[in-house]
Amino acid sequence: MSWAAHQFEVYAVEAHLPKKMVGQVSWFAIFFGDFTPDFLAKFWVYGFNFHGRHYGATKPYQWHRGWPGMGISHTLFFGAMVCLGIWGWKHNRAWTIGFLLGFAAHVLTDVNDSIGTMLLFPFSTLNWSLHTWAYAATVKGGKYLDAAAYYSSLGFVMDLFWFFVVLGSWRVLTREFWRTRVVPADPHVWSWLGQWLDERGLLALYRGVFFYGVCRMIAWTTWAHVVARPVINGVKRNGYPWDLSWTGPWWVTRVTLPQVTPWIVLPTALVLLGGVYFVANALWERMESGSIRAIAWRNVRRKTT
Amino acid sequence: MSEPSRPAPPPASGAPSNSGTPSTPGPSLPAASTPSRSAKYVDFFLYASAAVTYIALSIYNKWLLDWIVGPFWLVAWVWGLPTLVKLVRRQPIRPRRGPARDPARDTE
Repeated sequence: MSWAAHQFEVYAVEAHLPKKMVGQVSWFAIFFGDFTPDFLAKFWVYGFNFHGRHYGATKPYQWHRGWPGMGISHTLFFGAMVCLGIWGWKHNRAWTIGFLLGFAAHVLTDVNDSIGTMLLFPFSTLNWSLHTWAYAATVKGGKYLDAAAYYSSLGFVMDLFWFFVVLGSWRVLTREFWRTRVVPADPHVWSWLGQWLDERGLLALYRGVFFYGVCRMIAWTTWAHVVARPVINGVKRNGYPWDLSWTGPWWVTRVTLPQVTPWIVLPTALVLLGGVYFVANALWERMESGSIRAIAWRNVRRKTT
Repeated sequence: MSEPSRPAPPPASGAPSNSGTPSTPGPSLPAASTPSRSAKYVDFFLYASAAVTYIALSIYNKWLLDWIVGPFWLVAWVWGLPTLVKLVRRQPIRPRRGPARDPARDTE
């Protein structure tokens, strides 16, 4: 799984929207799209302890990304279904397309760990993984071992990569960008929040996800390499060892699910990413007339009641 | 800590052809402001101190590293502290509102 990368992706997607969608796709939808897969699946992955008993998935990796399990929450098919639901409910392309882009970013980024995601579900339940780093959520190790492994492996590099992608598009974090590109796409939500928060507060809210990403990356990395005193193979260490090799770190037992050969994963993921942008582009214009019709009907209903 | 105010608020231009969001009558945000140099320094200090405190505390209190707590921390620090100061000074804290205007004219 990826950690802060998912927070940075939200801004990366916002900053790299197709030209005709600039200032028109909901930032909140991108955020919820990127956030939904783990919101649905992750709580039970780590589980919780109550009265000395652990409640949670017995095989976290199977539950998180597999089938049967909540692996469906990390599939493009599921994202498309939710988007259909949003469109059917609100006829709002700003939210439908935003959710689609955020969701796709999450699913495609998660092919990097050793479990990967079921990219072609429901046509295939095989997982697609690049094995860039080891998936490390276990019943015994919980969130701490997972974080330590991620921030000792190429997962840390992945977070840095997305961090620099956002920094490369630093304008996405500015007040001007927020006012001219983000607010116009979601005027009602920002206006509603503006009942309580002034501009400084609203801007902080917008930047909050990026702030959280940066801080969690620094905090977990510091904890894993400076504060923690793990015992690995019977040896007490000052901090978890770094291992920036492929499929690292070596000190975590690597788990896998039935999957396709890694060689076809990257090209397939890139094709799917292009496909998602192509579909979003193609639907964008068509959805406009649907939006207008829905709004016209709503206005008619309001006048008649 | 106070920012010089601009006369009008931002757009609320959620035109149907734009986002698909119905927007009549147009919603409005709190009044916009162009931060002065000193306000920018204050903002920088607030963001930096929010990051330092959050990271320092969360290293030892992992429950703070949560997707709700993180953004909330920033808002509480960057918006809450100045608001607290205003409260102490008995200044109004409710956001001001005004007529809509073209967002493209807003500059830093």
